Amino acid sequence: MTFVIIILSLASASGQGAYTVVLNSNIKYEVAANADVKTYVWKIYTDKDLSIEANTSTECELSIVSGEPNAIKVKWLGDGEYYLTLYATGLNDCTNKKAWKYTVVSTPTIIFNEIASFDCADDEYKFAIDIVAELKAGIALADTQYPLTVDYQVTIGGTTTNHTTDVAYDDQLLNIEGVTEDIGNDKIYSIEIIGATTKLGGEINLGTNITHTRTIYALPPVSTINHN
Amino acid sequence: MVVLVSSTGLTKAQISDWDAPWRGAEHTYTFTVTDNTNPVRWYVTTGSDGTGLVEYGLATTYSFVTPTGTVTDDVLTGVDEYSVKIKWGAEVPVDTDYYVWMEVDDNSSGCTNKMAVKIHTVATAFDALIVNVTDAEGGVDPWTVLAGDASLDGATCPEDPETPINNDGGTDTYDAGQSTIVFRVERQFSLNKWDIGFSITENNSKPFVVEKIVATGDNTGDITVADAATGTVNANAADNKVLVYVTVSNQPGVTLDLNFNLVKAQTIDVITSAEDNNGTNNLATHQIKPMPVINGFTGS
Repeated sequence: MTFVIIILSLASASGQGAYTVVLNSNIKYEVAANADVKTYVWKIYTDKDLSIEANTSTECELSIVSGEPNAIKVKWLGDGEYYLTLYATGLNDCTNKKAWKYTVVSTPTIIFNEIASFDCADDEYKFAIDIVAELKAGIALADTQYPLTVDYQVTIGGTTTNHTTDVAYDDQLLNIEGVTEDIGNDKIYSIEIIGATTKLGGEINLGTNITHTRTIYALPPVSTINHN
Repeated sequence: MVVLVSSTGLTKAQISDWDAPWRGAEHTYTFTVTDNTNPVRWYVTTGSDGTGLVEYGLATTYSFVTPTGTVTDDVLTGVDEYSVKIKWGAEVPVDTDYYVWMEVDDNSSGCTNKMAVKIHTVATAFDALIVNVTDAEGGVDPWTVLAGDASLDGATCPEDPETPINNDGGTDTYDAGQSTIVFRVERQFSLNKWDIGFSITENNSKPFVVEKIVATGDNTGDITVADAATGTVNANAADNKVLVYVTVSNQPGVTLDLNFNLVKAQTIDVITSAEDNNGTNNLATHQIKPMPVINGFTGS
């Protein structure tokens, strides 16, 4: 399988057109503090004319940042297009306003790059599995969304353990814990991703290949040789 | 027969009067005659004794406006024409005495009576003056508001940004917009076609952009003017006042102290070429206060 990877910079001030945000992300936005400003008012609209305010229960939630009126925290609750808008009033009562367009998506997915791996039993129990996290088909999740937090289960012989670990952008590896190896017996583990979120709390959906089978083979038996 | 004198002038305030007319002004002179159907003659002289007959119909003299009678050898001859409208020449000498005469013949006795009124052409030549008539609330009438009215604003906040969205289909699409201020330029002591030469400057030489200039005369409407900080408004003879709307680009964080100067040498009575003779009323100022800067936006 080949992927066409296009790296997007998300939730930053360098995008072209609307900025893309993953659903459920909780992000702090701010502008440079200006000593000539007496009030900042942040609002979110759903229309380009900046007249229809977003629903704070279903679409987005705004929280003030204590001591930082030039900042705002937004939890994006619903897919769609939004306009984060800042009104600034100067000490001279003159006003300015600026808005930034956002597109909230619930399309990100995570999968294992391979559904199976093998190893010979030894003392090194740790291993990692490649994951693939995409914003949508063919577009990788941007580095700004990392590290991802991934919840997974390790199951063998009817026993399941739960684990959580972070995935770094640089290696895209899910490091697996909870696996042990037996040189005398084959072991077959089933590892399944059960949940994942971005660094900002954005929701990542589970794709199709979320189960990986790890087979650890026993070593061939060797006994002592008698010499005379 | 009793001859009485009356005259009526233009009703514009602070402008030409029947006995102190401006160049190019029209005034009506009426003598009351108790008898009717009498031959009358109208003429103008420089001498109070009736000498010094003024040549009719020159730009430097006068003319009758739609007289009923006919003018021959500088005399208007008619019957029962006891009221005439005189248009004083566009280049009539200022600060000069003239006498408007009416002679009437009694058509039964043949006796003649005559009377004159003295006029003195206004001493002052063309003057243009300027007033800042900007009102942020938009409640005043810019044509009539007096200078110094409490509703006028010599300093205003910029108008709202034209494009507040910073990433609308591209990068840095935010546009701070523009603000419009309005000046009223009036002329005095002339009713001729006139030019308004202007120069807009900033008190501290800060850069600014004039996006649009719109000029409109009180009687003729819009006058084409180039969109630039310096230029000339070619005002029409019928316009006593011209409103000049100046639109400048908004600059967040920047105070603009703008001067709208009438350039004396280019503010002229086009017919007489008289330059604006009073430079003390040629400057109007306006401050555009700074809107706060919004920058450095980040999301983490």
